[in-house]
Amino acid sequence: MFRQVRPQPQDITIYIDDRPCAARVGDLLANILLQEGMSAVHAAPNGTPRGPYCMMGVCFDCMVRLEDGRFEQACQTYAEDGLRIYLPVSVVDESGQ
Amino acid sequence: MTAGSHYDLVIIGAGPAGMAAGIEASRGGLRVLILDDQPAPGGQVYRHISQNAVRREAVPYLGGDYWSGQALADAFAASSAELWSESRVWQITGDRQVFLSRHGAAQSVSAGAILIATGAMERPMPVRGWTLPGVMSVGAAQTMLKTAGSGADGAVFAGSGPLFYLTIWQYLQAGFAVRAVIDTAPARMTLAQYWLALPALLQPGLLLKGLRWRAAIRRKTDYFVQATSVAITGEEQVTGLSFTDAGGKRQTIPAEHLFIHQGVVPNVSLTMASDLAHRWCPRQLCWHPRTDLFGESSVAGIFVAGDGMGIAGAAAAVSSGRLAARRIIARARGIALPMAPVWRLLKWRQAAIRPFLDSLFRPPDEWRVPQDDKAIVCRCEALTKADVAAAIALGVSGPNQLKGYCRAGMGRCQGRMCSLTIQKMIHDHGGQPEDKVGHLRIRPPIRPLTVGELAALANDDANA
Amino acid sequence: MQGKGSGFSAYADWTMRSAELWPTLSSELQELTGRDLGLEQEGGIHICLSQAEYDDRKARLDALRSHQNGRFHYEMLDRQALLDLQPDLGPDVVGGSWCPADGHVNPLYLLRSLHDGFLRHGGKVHSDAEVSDIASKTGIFTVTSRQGVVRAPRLVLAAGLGNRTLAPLVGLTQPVRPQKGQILVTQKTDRMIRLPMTLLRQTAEGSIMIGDSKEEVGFDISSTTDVMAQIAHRAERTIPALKHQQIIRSWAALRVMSPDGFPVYDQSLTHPGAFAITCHSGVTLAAAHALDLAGDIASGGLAHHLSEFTERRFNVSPG
Repeated sequence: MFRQVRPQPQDITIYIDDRPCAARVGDLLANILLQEGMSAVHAAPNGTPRGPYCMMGVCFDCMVRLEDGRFEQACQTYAEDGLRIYLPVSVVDESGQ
Repeated sequence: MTAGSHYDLVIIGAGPAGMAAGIEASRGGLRVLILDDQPAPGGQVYRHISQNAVRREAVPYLGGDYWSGQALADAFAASSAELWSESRVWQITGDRQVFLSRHGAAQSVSAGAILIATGAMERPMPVRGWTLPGVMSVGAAQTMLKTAGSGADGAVFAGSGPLFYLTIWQYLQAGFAVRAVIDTAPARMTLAQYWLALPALLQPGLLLKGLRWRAAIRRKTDYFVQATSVAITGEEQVTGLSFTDAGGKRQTIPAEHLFIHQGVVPNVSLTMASDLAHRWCPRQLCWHPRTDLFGESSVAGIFVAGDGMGIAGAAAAVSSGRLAARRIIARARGIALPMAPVWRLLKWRQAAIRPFLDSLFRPPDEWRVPQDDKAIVCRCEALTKADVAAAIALGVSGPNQLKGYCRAGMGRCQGRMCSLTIQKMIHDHGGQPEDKVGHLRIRPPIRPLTVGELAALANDDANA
Repeated sequence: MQGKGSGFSAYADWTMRSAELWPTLSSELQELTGRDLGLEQEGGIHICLSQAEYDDRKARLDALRSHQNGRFHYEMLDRQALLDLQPDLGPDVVGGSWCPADGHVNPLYLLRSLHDGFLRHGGKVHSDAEVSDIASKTGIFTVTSRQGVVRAPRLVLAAGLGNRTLAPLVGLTQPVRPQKGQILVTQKTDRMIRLPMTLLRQTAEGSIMIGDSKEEVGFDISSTTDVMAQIAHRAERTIPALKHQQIIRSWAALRVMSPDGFPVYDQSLTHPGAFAITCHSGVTLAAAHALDLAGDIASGGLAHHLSEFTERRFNVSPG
């Protein structure tokens, strides 16, 4: 599990799959997910789970879905009060693959 | 399509090269805009530095090299360069229009000159299991330390190179328990490397630092050298790492967190999408944009500085940013820039240690192309080495035709994680030199943007 | 399919023939290579965003039908009828045309399967083999390329825009020019597009392809923002929900265009045994090419119904 050397006071709430999670304004979303133990956030085309790998926006494996339907990289998204994200952990196409 | 404002210089990337160029150019009287995708300047090497500087004593573990960036960040903040943060540049054109997305909307600015300072990224490491949750790059571990002061106890590190040793040392300084360090570099230096080490003596501080980091690692962790045949185990997430140790014995180390590293390469997405000429560097095993001494690319008015022009470190990045800015200022004033031989010497001196490091930490072949047929080569499309090899066996003229056959390089990352791998696989199959095989063709947008954002740019001259 | 051949009924027939043969090609390739090409022939739509577009479309299709003696079926649909097929169409959509014979197939799977199938049939491919010379003597052609020299009694030039320089070597002209097309591709997403539309379709994997342009700019294949923005704008007007879809890449390539836009198929009179073939609809016509044209070439001469596609219709001087 990831832990912080000096945990900072948390002043806002974000929602991960509608579950409330305490956070600090400006926290990097990928850090929050990893500290919550969520190393898998979406699935590759063959169904295998994927999560943050590079933390700098080049691997595109930390995708999360925002409330407006857009997919965004968690390592390029910052926490604001009330932010809602959804983890597309299982992505199944119509043929069931 | 009308452009927005015009600037004398638009800099893309607020890392050391970009900041140095911004300071220099604005001091020289140019109207400068710097575009950066992060919330605050620093790039990757000085990421989050201004926020960390607020309580510097709370983050001593990042070390002196990191903190040496604070003066630069402060000087940049004090300069008259205009900064747009959280701005993603997705295209630049030959006539120097820069297209970006900012606050959810796409816009463009025009520039008298452009400086691309988008830096480097870690090279892809397609070993079996590298896509498993819980496996991250060593740079990612360092980014977590910088941005959240967070790390994982019991982590295992595998690979080699300056960033590798630095990050492990930072982890130890921060008080995280490092389970094991698996070093993939050869244990003994060759004669040629001793020879290359001579110019490195011009930078003794760097050499000593490296030795210090390695000594700490040897003391405080389970340290294995000369590891080969590395495979990451696990099904839904990482469970451990197997490798053959220096004595030929197979070892397995359990791990829930694994960090891997085999060096960094220039991030050429923007330079390639802009149709700048590139050359293959056999010493660093990566592509460099072709530039002159000052960093001007094959397209007039478009410059490159920093690690994006070739891996040389933060200090060299600052110099190259400054040099490019001076050239741009001189051109804006219609004067020549004197002392070219001096710049040439300074550049060489700052990068004197590079040939040594490049040789010592050259990524082993098994980290460039997997040994295991089931290892994932194209992460985005989940294609294994076997999948890609089958398509290469049909006969391909290069990575672009290969992409047509099997989709390698077509996913979200647009080849960042696989182009170097497939280039080597094609080379290994057919024998053509890697520089002839080439890189995947990169096109804008180099960062995703929505249909809506792009559509809104058409409103200027929209017809039915 | 729809809209192809307005003004040239032989082409409409040829395209129709290909559509009819497509299921056969698809299953033949699937059996040979094990790959499903993703062929769907459930019909397709062409969307019109103004009354003027609608009227123009109707006029073209009416003209086409009148050449076809009833073989070509289509329907003009009003907005409400289109909404039954694709419920989330934007307010600008006034109507469109629907053609039951329209469909799509995965062109990359097709390309790979054709290549793979060719190899399985014993064919040989020399990649990266730019041709520098073609000589002919006593009925044998000698082709010199970067990969060496090969000889054969029969030669087919199918080099697209490259046919311009190669065709004269065998007494033909092939007056083709490049026409640029740009498209946009989105991330993979849930199924949004129910039926293929001329300018909007969703692959089996989920990415949405948005097109396209027709630009006369020579051999330029760069992606340009003005065109990309127009393409995105039209797509958003067609289905507003597209506006949140992330574009992950653009693509541009050159169509092989003849002066009237229809294929050019010829056998050389001066160099018997040499053929030159080009078209810009290689995917649509793949079935006709594989299961009809190929047979003609193998047996030594183009069938009569293909004589309308000769380059001589352009009044070119003999090569």
